[in-house]
Amino acid sequence: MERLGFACRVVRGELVCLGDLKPMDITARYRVEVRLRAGSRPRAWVRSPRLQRRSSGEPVPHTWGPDEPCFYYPIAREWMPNMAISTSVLPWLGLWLIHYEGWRATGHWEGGGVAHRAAAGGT
Amino acid sequence: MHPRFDRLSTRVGALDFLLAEIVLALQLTNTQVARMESAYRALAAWLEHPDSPLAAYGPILVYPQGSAAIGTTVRPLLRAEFDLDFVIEVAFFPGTPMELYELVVERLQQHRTYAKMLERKRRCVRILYEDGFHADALGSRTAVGVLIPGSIEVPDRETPTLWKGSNPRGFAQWFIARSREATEARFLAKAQPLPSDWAAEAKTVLQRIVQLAKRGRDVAFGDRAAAPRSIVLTTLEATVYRGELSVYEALVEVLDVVASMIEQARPYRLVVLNPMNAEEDFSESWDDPTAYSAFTAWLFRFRREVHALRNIEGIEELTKALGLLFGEDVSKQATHRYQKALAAARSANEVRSLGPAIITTGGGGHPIPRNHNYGAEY
Repeated sequence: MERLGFACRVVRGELVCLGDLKPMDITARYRVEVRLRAGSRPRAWVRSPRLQRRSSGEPVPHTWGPDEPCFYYPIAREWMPNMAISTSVLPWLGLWLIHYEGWRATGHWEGGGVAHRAAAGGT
Repeated sequence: MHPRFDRLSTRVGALDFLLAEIVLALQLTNTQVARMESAYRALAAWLEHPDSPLAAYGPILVYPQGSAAIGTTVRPLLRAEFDLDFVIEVAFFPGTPMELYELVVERLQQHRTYAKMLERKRRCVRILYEDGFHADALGSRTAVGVLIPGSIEVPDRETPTLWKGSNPRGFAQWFIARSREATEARFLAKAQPLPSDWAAEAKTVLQRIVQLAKRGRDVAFGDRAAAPRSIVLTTLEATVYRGELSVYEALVEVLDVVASMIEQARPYRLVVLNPMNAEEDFSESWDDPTAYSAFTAWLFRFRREVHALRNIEGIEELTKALGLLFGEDVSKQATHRYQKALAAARSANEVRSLGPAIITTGGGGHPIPRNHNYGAEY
């Protein structure tokens, strides 16, 4: 298994981490970015390769925006400020990428999840 | 750690799971199996009945041969029909081979329904059912003066005065004995039965790699006559199999060994004899160099593509590569089942993280806190 490093720095009061994820041996490797501002919730982006709709045009499920996965349910307080990003946000993002790849292959999203009330673009 | 999940996150564990699911998707459906069994029972009962003209020649044995006998059937690729091969063996027959052949035909013609369904083949009599299913009946006599159990003599319309030697029961026993090695080793190592959905309903690794090779052949050759015979693929694989427990590694290993045997045999061809009856060259069609080179070209390509599965990155790309080998539908279905297996592992808290976001199902590392994917769709 590869050890993939994350480089973190603080930029204008925000923790910005950039690194590569390859969640399982059979998945691709992704360059991702995680940002956390004190008092706020963590967000993550998949920078490369970019998330893509399926060839049939179906949009990518469970995202806040075109490159931004959504992998925790804020209302249920699944992320708490005392959690380490390395054992919460990053594994959640890794799992999300595994579900994304499966969805790309079969059209089925098997990662579960809570449907967002508003449709895409109406957040 | 539940044995079903622990290897899912590894490359070979995922491949083993996907290949086993592909095999499951290629097996005859329950409907097809029931159809086959009911047709077979009716035919057997008719042929071995005391009123049958065959009954004069001693106790009659009726038994399946071929893939149905050894558990390596795969659904046909392009044909709607599937088939069952079986043997009718009489204890003695003093007449000529063609007389025995015609006696089987005669008995089938005595049945009002079967009489309209018959087609003479080279050695068998084919009974064609309306829905496309067909049963091939091979009339035979117990081999005279041969002490190997299961040896029979069969007619051949291309050489009508000669009895041809064969031993389908011996072959089935040989194959099953070869396939049992890995199963026994696996049971010994784990001291428990494999859960059915992981073990593709208790099929052994050897059966599975035979099914995968047959399917790979079907996808590559379609209906073309140059396709290597199933009996040849089956015998080759069973001969070189070393009891490897992983379906993927076993397939790689068997293909590597066959490839090297082909190279070492040059400029001659491989000869694949019936392991139970050295008189029978299963591979005699390879006397035609065109047929042989079609086989070797396919074998080398198939081997290369199976090897490549080890390095493909991306579940979508892996699914596509499996689709090119074994068919798109069965590969997507296998991947979908894999997704569900991972989801089940997650629900069972058997998915953990090792280091910065490497996901494992094999234990160790850190538990992953509960989460729900949310958000919209872009």
